[in-house]
Amino acid sequence: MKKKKKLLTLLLSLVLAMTMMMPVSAASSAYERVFDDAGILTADEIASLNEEINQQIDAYDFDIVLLTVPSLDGKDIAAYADDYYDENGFGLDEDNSGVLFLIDMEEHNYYISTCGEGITAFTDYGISRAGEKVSSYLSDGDYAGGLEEFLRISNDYFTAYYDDTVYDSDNPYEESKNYVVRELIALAIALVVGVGITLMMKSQMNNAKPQEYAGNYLKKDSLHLTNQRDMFLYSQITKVKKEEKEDSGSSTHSSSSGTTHGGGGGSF
Amino acid sequence: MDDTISYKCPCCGGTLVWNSTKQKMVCEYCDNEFTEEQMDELSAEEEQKTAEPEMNWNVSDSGESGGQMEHMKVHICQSCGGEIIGDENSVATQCVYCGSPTILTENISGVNRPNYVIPFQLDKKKAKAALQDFYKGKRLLPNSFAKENHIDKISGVYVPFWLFDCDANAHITYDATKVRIWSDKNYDYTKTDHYLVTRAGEIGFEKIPVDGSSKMADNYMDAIEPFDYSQMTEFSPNFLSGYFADKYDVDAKESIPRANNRVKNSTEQAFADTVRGYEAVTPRTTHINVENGDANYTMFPVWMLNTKYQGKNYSFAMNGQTGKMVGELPTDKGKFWGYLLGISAAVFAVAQLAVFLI
Repeated sequence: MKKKKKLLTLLLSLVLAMTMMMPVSAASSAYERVFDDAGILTADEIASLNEEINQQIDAYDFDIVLLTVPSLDGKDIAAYADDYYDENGFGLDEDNSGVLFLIDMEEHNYYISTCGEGITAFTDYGISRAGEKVSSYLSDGDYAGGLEEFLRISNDYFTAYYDDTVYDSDNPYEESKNYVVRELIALAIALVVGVGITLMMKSQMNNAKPQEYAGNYLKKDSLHLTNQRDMFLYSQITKVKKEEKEDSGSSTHSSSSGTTHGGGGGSF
Repeated sequence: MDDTISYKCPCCGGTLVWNSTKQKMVCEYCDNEFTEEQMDELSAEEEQKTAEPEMNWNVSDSGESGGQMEHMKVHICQSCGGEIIGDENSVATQCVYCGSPTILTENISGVNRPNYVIPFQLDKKKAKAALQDFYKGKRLLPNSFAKENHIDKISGVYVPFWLFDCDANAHITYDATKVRIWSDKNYDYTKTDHYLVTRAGEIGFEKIPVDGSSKMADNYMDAIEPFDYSQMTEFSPNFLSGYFADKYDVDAKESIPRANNRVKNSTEQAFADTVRGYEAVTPRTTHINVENGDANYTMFPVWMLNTKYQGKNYSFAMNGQTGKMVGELPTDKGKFWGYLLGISAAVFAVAQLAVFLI
């Protein structure tokens, strides 16, 4: 009887320990990475963004920080983002690899700051593409939607990073193929070729065509030019601005603490 | 200001103003400058535009003829009205043009005698074989056509042709442009130089054939060209024996427009070929005058083959000298749509590779 009681307490304490350990272990891997200082996100939105960030951190070993501020206190947006990242000790490995997305509600600007291997994963091309995609949500006032879009993009970029196919100006991101349009184009080409060849066959059925020229009946060497002048009249010059060629790779700068960052931003 | 002529800018159409410091006409709108010489030439072109072309053919209504032929027979088709002549021994059982057997034969005299003739070089057998060859490679020909269709009638006919000689006197101007493209760091530049190109001169044509028979389809008679003129000889009625001849019913004068058209097109082509070194050349004014025009009445050998297929007549003409076969074959509708859909489907199937792989 006593033995049984002992076993029961052991089991109970084991269960208790396990139930206590579960939240502890979960808490240790749950990074708080959404800082809504501007107060533009609901608690639910913050929770859901945080959940996605934690999944990506676990999967890719890149830190992700989302920050909204009511104003930059007169600081440059790039410096603000870089310093926030450095001063709060974000970044996972010895290179502090990661990316920070900053929304400034005062000037309606956004900035993406990258650090460590994040600089490699987010090329200048990748940053400007991500900025365009996200800012279209932000300018509609859908801040949570914009940040979710950013996380979808970071997911793509980190996957590409590990596949060694980082998106860059010489390896642009391909939107999903539109097969309906492609099939219609293929059908149109097929019909043009089919009609063309068949009409060629049809034209072979009748070779009784009138002659429009008398080239066969030219007297040999009978062409004599008595007046041959090529007079210059005027010139027209048009100039068209060249399309700027995008450089590939990632440009970097140093933050006030001396850490190397990449990044780029824009307004919404 | 006694000069009231106002010049228009050839570039933008604005009014040109005389600039005494530059000693040039200057356009205030597009900043182009023109010398007096350039403007004189341009205004001369404007006047040229209104000049009428002259086509001087020394051709009488009846055309040249080498006298008359006596003791001839004319065979008149009661169905289509076609007239065919032969020598006094000729027998016509069917109309050369429509295949109708109702032929009225009369003796006539005083048929205009042609100056020259190209005698038949190929016989009836060759014409039959040439028609079989003509069917080959025609993918849209109904399967039963070659089998079911039998040659009703093959006749060797001397077809009247007018051979036109002439010199063309042309004055043609062109708008021509040279294009240069270059770039610096920020811009791509395109410089287009505009030129006024003038070409004037003479070109000669000889023996352009135009058939003088209204019964013979013009496109058929055009298409059996060319004939080899080296075998052309003085006409003699002996050549007619065993063959028919078509009496011309379109005289030389009426045939001139067809010759003019060909002279004009070929003169334009020959002169345009002398304008070289430009990216784009478009004729601005064209003046072609024909001089020393002359027409000769000749007869050329043509085998006429008439066939019937499913109640419809099909005519073919073969150059009796070179063997060139001309005609229009029926198209099998089923084959036409079959090929169209089949080829399209095949291309569409291959295109799936591109749709999914690229």
